[in-house]
Amino acid sequence: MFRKKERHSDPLIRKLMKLVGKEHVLHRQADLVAYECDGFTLQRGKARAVVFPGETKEVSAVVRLLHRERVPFIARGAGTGLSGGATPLGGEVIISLVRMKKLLRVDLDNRTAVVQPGFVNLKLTQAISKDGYYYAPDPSSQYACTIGGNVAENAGGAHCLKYGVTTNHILGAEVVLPDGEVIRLGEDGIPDQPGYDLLGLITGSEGTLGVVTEITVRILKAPEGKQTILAYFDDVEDGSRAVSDIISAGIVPAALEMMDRTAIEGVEAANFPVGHPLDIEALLLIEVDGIEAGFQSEAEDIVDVCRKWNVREVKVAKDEQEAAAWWANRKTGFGAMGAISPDYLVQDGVIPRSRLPEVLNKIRAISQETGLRIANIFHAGDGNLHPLILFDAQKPGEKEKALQAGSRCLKACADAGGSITGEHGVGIEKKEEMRFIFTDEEIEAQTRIRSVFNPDNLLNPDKLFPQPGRCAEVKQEIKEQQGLKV
Amino acid sequence: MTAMVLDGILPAERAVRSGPPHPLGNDGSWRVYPRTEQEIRDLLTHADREGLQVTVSGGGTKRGFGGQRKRYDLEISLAEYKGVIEHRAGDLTMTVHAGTPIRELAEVLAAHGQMLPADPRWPGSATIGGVIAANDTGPKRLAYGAPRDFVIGVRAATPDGRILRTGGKVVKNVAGYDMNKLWIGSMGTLGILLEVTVKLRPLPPDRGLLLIGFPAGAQGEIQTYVNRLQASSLEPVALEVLNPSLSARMAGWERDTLAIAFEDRPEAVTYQLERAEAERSGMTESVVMRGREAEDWWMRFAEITPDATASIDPERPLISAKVALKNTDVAAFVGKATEQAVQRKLEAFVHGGAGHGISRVYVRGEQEPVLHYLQVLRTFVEKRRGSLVSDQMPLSWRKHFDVWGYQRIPRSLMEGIKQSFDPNRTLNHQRYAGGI
Repeated sequence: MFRKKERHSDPLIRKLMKLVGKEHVLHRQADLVAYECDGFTLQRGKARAVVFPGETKEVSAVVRLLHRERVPFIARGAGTGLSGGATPLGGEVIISLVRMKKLLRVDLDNRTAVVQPGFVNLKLTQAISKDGYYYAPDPSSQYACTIGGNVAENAGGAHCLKYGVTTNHILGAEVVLPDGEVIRLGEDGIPDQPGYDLLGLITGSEGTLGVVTEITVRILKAPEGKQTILAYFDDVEDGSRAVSDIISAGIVPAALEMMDRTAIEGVEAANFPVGHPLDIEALLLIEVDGIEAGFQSEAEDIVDVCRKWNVREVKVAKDEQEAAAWWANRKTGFGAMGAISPDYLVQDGVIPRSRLPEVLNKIRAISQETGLRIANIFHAGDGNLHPLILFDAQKPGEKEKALQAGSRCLKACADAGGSITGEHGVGIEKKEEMRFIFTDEEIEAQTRIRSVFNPDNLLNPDKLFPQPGRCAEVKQEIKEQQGLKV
Repeated sequence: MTAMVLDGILPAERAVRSGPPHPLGNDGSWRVYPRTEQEIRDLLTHADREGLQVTVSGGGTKRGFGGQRKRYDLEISLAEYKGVIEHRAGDLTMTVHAGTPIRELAEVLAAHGQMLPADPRWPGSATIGGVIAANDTGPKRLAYGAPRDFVIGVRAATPDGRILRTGGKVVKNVAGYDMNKLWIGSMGTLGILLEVTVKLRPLPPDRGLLLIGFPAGAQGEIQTYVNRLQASSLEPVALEVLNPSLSARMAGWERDTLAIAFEDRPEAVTYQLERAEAERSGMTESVVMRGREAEDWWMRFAEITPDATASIDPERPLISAKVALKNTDVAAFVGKATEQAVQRKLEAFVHGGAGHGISRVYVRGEQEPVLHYLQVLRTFVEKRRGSLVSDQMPLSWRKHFDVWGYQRIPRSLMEGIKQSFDPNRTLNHQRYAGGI
């Protein structure tokens, strides 16, 4: 019997199917819907196809084909990014790396692990915890996000204050360049390879310089112990001052997180309530770790600092379960906003931590002026703020108002000497806001580097950098074209 | 180049005509000492326009590091472009001029109970800019990281007259490309560092140092001990292996030595010293130091040999090399480098970080045996996918030894990056890996 072979009308799709197998290419409109955006849902676009290579050779072959045919393409992991870095703008082929999800090697003596890009962040710690090791970068989405995506975004997390962000833990990578050539950086995780630090440059390049197909990461020995402290403040400024005093006391906590009243209302209404009082203005969640003999006295000092700043209540977790409950409550904080608002927009500004009270006041003013509630959940220790702008997309004009409020929060951070993003990336969301912190010349220096790797701008095109041109009208027009009315 | 030209940019007393070329190379027919950003920018753009070749120096400790040219036209010294611009103690960040010596920074910071998380060599003369450009790190890299971990912002001048800022002043920042990384270890081939913003740490409340002397040839035993220590929950800030000749100077015994440092609250330091001491075998001997004494030991360690500004014995110059390997190959490398030196009757100090992978070799001898020695070591290292880079060698020797070794990074990318900053090859031409 002959069955009529299904031949796709788009020759590119046929070629892709030939390279990776028919079952590993999605091209039907209905199948592409799930790839219209990532975790930044306010802007969507249609991909031409999604292809799922199973190994580096296939990634390279697909990239070579797309490069030859001048078809733009995007690498994608779990799609948990919060700035639209993996969102197609229209017509790109998405190279999904979720099939490449193996943990290839663990070398405990050298404290390294080698993973494929689609390997999920949390699974690494789960795989090595029995031996007493862990992988430090812990973005809130770590149960789903991939390490390849973490490299693209230079992801952070709650524990960056002491242990650094993704870039501090990446020792080597295999990278498919935008023309399909495969290079290896940092062989076997050996540091200081002679030559420009391409590994450092590619980490955080939001998938615009190459497709990472294998990653060597540093793993750490779990600390001897840790202690978690929770402090409730009736005044945000007291909480902020306590943060500063903890740092100036010479303590580097593993984590130092803060939530304000609106955020607390959200987390207490969501899936992991722990009974925080609803009438406090700020809470601090602090973790110290290390050698037992050292962090015990650090914890005592932290309690003293909180008391000095009029804490209403401060308590040390009595056991691991209690600490885990506090952390679950915090880590699901973004999603928890769904319990008190139909929609929310997460922002990601950074400020010098000493400017905390001043910037929080500015955010409060933005909230009052726009009439939108803004919850604040942030990594107070490193000054990374996450204003959560609550809105209702069903109400005409609210989405636009939320975007505008978000942009104004970033401006406030930039004006305080900070940055527009600490861990979520620029993506499509904050392209124009790059101008808050960089001059045209400084942006051009970066696009020149992009051209060295990605001269035709085929790999993840039009992300990260604003469109050239200074004048406000042009910017306005671009935003309107993107459907983001300013 | 004439003094008159330079006069227009900076006063005559800050432009000095050089004497005979330095045996280590990397000097200029003229040496100038700018004090302002404008002066640096003007000197650089003037040179770029006129086709003059420029090199940059700080304290001069890296003069013997790389480079093929007999001499550059102009040496821009940042020795007078120094000082703290802003210390935001509450934010644990600091912005400084690139020409500031490490020790000057350390003193300012110590007054606030803070430190730069770095222990590079020759802190009295090495400048922050030079340490970053040469990516120089010390034993405590294990805990505190390298320049790529503590540099959060840079302001630099490029030869075409641009002043570029990369990064920022905050400790966490992913806006745009992480361009800071390009300045680190790139030997001043992309621009002149003007200002650097660094992440700081609190000074540790206490320090402890445990020196363990192992019987000769006990590399395997050192590795076993290191593995055991690393598998425990102790948090050493240094795990440095010293060969017998270096130990003779630093520990007072001629054995392979493991230097283990702990920096924490006093009770945690005591606890860790005791645990580490308890783990050592009866074949070893040990010494413990605390506080000031431990700190002074590391200060001496940072000056194992004189820096490149010392006078040079033309027959038997001091040669140094930096070796990068997997952590578990470090003790074996120190053993190999020692044994090879003994065979060749060369005097060599060797040490390596068993927790961070960087080793250093200092050797004195005549050209042929020394270069052969380095070649043998490089073969050993490259077989293990590591690298050996000679960071001090006279210019005449560099004609016979590729200081950078095998290049794994595609040339097109290296060239492309250079091209996008310095298309006319004005800065530190031929000083970097791959002849960049």
